[in-house]
Amino acid sequence: MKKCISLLLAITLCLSLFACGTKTGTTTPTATPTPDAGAPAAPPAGGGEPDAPPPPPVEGAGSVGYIDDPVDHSARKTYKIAYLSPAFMFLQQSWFAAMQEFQDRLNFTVTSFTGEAGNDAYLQNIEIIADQGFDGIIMDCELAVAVRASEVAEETGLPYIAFVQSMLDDNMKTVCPQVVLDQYETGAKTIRWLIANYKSYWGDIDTSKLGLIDLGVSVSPDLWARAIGPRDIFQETFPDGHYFFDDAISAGGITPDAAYTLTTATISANPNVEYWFITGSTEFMGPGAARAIDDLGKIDNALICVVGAGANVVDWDSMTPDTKTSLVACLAISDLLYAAPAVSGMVALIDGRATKDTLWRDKTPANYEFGNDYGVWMVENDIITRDTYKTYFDEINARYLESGGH
Amino acid sequence: MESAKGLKKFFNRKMFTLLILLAVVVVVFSVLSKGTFLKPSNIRAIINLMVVSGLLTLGVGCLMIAGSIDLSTGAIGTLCGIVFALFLQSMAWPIALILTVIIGMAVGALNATLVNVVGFQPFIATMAVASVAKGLTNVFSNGQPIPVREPFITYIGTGRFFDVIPVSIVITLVAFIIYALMLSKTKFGRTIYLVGGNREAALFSGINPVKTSYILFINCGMLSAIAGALLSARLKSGTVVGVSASQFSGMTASMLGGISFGGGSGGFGGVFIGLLIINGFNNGLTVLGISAYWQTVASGVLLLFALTVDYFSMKRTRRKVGVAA
Repeated sequence: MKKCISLLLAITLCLSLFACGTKTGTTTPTATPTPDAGAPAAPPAGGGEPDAPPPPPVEGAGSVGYIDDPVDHSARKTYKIAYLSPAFMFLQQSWFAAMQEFQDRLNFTVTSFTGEAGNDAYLQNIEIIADQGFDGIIMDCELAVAVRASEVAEETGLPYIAFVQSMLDDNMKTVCPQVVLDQYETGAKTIRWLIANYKSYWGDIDTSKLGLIDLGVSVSPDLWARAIGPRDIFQETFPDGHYFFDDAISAGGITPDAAYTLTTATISANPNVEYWFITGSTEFMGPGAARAIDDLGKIDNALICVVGAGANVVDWDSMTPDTKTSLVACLAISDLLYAAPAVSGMVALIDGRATKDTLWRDKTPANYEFGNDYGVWMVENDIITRDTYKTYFDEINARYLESGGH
Repeated sequence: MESAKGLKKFFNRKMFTLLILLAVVVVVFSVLSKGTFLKPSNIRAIINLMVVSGLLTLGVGCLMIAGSIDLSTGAIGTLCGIVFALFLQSMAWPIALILTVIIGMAVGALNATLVNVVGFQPFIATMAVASVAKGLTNVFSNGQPIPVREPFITYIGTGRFFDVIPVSIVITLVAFIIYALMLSKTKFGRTIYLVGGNREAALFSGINPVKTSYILFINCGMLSAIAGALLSARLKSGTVVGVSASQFSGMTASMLGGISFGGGSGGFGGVFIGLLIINGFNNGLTVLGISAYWQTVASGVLLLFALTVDYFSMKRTRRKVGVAA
């Protein structure tokens, strides 16, 4: 018996290993090109020399690092780009899939690596990526290890771009080109939308009976910044209103369940508040808060607008036209809007047509709070509603995947 | 005849099985990665990941041999990593380090008290303490990373001897040697095995299992604190994620390396090889570009394999004891 079980486990181990070995780089449903893991190491890129000389820019070029950069990408070797993230969950998968959409057009392959929630492993992965002959790294890096990660990346000589999360030094200044959101502004947009639209739902109400539940995450500087906007604007607009900050960390993390728990508790504890705005720092908070509102029977008295679309869109997709919901809007950032600048900027760096000092300098906002030493690509975003979301995503898809970019 | 017996004994030893397993991991990944797996920088990456998990394993391994368990090592290490980073902002590093280690030992003593005085199961007591430590980590750090810029400390974390061998690896290797010798060559080491093998028998032999348990829990807290401080030095930052991610691999390595959940058996030679296998395995999956989800599946299967080996090894031991009796 024991021999059978041992043998079975050993076979399972081998099978899972070889099943994985059939490759690679992704778990997303999108077709993944097979990165040549065992291929001879490519020469150092970015700071170094690529195999072939960079392709000559065609007439009209003038937008290096943009998706519509008219350079002939097929005239060079296929670049190997690594996408390194602290974990590989729903969001990272979506971004990765969006990057893959541009592989043929920009002539690269992208492979995902993850630190499996460990900062030490995250740093080791940078060295592994360099060993594997990758040409550049798109780094979704926690601020806690940004300084060390940039040091390790510099040692490898590979070009790198900060993606989604800001990479800042001790003085809170950027250490490389970044593709990020204006975090404060995203949160601010959600509350502005609620303020601009609540009367169409409730008419004129007594704002002393209005409350805001600001669902935030204290342990992430980026997510924390998203929670400050709603607070500032709500308190300024409704000095007599009631503001509540609920930290998802106190309820188990960034999950719909945490949002459900916190929303239920806050509303139950404040019966004097009749009308509720709910904002959230992540998309996962929308469905959780909406479920709580539903259970409390407050659908007619609550309006939810959170940062992030994916989970909310899933909710909207599942509703019939008659379904009532308090989840009325969210701030959408199409994954393509994140992915397009990241991969095109990375290709320009690997080409050597841009350096970390020159990439996207024209895009960096003046007086950017995290400094102007490196280019910063502020990702576009828009408020979408249950009625407009399909149009929004169709338009973005058409812009990036059909018409060839903006 | 003697040498044939010795050879047969070696082949029957768990260490031989582990070496075979390690060889399989090395060969399979080297072939699949077309040699990348064996690049010096990749080997350094594998060993680098042993720094933190290795120290945690030494602490929890001793406890497991003594028939106990500590599920709070990750949380204690993370708390101490944050506290160490905070201390460094206002005091000299030796004092900061000493205070950090004292905090780790104090939490270890709390675990020991809950287990030995209050009578909680180690599993429950240490899980509760882990939750407290995790909460305190957020309280002290406000959820934010704390930068570590003290030059000597960052050298310990990121520097290399002769520009090749990472300093932090040397620290862990030395710790492994010391603990392996302590277990195999000292009276206290034998005490740990005896307490883990049969607590009543140990008591009748004049050994105080409660005292041993206190020492081991405090030792575990101390090593967790050092691991946390070392990780802060390696990352140049105290983080709320900290060493938590290393706890699981450390415990898996302990079981794979021959330390039984039942206590009374195992040694750090096997654990060291176990760590090499696990880190090599995880690294190999990454080198091959295998998706994170499949990596988790494969790691889980490896843990199941370790547990199965542990189960049958315990069963065989019991049968032998039964036969002898």
